[in-house]
Amino acid sequence: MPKSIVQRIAMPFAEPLVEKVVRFATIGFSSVAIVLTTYQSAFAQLNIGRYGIQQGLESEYLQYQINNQNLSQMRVIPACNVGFGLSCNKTGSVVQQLVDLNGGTNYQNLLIQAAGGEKNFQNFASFYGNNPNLSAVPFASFWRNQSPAIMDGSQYLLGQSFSRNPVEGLGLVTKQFYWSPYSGVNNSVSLRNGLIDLKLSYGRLLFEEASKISNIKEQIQSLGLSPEMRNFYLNKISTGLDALSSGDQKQLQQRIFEVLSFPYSEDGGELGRPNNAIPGEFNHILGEDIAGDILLSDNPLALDGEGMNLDTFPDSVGDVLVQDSSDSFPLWPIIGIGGLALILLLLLNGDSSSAQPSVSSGNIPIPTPIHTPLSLTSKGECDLTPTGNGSDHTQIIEIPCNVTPKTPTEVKRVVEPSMIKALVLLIVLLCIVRYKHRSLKIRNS
Amino acid sequence: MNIIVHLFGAIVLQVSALATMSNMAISDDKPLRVYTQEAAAASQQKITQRICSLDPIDNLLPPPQIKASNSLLSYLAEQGFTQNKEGSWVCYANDSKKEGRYFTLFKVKQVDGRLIASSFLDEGSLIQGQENRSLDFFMMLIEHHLNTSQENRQGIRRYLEAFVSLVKQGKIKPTRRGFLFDQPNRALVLYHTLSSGNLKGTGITINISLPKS
Repeated sequence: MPKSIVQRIAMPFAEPLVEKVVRFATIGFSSVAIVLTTYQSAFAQLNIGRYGIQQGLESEYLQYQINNQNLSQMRVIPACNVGFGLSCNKTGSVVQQLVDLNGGTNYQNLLIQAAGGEKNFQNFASFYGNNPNLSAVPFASFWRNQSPAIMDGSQYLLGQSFSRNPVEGLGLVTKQFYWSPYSGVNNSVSLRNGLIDLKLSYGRLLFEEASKISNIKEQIQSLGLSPEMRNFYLNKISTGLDALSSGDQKQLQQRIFEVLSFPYSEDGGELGRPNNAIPGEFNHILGEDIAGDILLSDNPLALDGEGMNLDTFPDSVGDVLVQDSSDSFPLWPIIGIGGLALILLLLLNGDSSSAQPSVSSGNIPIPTPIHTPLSLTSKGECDLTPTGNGSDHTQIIEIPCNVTPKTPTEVKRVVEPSMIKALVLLIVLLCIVRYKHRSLKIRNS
Repeated sequence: MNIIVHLFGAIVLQVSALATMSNMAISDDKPLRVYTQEAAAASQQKITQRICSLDPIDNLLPPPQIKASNSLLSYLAEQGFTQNKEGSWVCYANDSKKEGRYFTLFKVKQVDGRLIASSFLDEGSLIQGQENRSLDFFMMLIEHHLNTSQENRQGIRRYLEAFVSLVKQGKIKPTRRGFLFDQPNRALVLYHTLSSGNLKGTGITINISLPKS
């Protein structure tokens, strides 16, 4: 019975708490579901040091490594029987779960309420470069002046420390918070104090929610926790609720810090965080790397280009084909020669004094003989239809006709048939021109 | 004059002939392009399943001297990796900016009792999809060669994900420093400049010690 309640408690809490860890949502759910079975936690972590790095605190650990090279002095939350990430084993984690279970406001809504509404939270976030981890700030530690040894410290959550210098205008935003004891009278508040105000504001709301649950102590006792753990949480909650009802602001702030930042630790340690005992040799270790290389397809190895065409690699993308055809098929010289041939042809046949430049007019006799005498059959043979003085042509043409269909295959296997057609046409033209030219020479001489 | 007119006519003819030719070429190209796009889409789907997408690279590599001698990592063949003549398993990517240029995207090498596995950033930048594929690649090696529980691997993945994300944001400077993420297996990750080889840029590399059997 106790265990099932605990699991039901654990489930809904996973969602709001780890807003920061939205990207891990699914993992959060699965691991939080088994959260209170003490022995599980030993494996659900990075195996680093004596206590490991608790689930959901991986990016804080990485930030610690980047910003504080001394791993030997690292102090950690020693286990994660309740909660996830920054909330591991903290009293606030248990209270929020009980609030959820009793139909109270969930973490996300409570946070927005603490920040004075969605709009005000966005204004607040803009002072912090819209840091995506801002909504996890209430459970981050600010203790010991953001002690660099505390791995779940706010500077490791946010990836940077925020200064104590007053910032103009931030006070206008924090004054909209549900509670903002660290904001002074003027409009300038430091970025650090802004974060602490968010934490305290959420903490106060959490206590107010908790105070609505009349039998909260009984509910904690029925959670099936170890006696030490149960007493630890009971003590923190009752002193906190006392501070809330006493109206003593300083007391209340102190209790909120304890509830949101002090994890339960079997092994003690300053502020509930024992040293993780990572050997000093890991402070500075050098890694080994390997070399990468570049391959170019015009490298001698690659010249076996036929392996690169589409038949062999049906999955390959178009680039390769494009590259092949453009590289290996020099079309322009052929076209140029063909053009030259055409011009010559025109000049030579030009004695028919037709002065019309337009091709479409059809009056120029040249185009017709060009297209009619030749057509390429599917076999690539020449089908010749002699025209007027065609008998002269055929003799000459026969030679290129036999030769030309072979040319494209020699150039490249992947040449499109239409290209071949055009090519054949041009080469044939060239031959005609050559013939004409020669006969002209003979005539002239 | 007559000659000039004829010349002009010839040029017009030539141009129209060219236009026809290129039209033919284009119309012939079209089905091909459609095909290649489909093929690209199909291979895109494959990427989600395989860590090394099939860039048509195999024939650029000399055939491996030692066929599948390294059975320890031969499962990577299913992921599209090939073994090179040193015995390393490699995956190449096509440079999107320069056709015909391929660079090592992933590589893993066994050195004594250790595995060194890299994801390479050509000229220091990640290509599209490289973050997740790098994570899949590293996690596959970790799953095969490290004694870890499922929960433990979830933590390692979150850690490496955070690492790659910071690299992408430029928040980790390239150094030789190894970041420890699993002490019993002495598993490290580093972000470093490429000191040797003809590929220039940076790499995200993990080092893991193989359990002694």
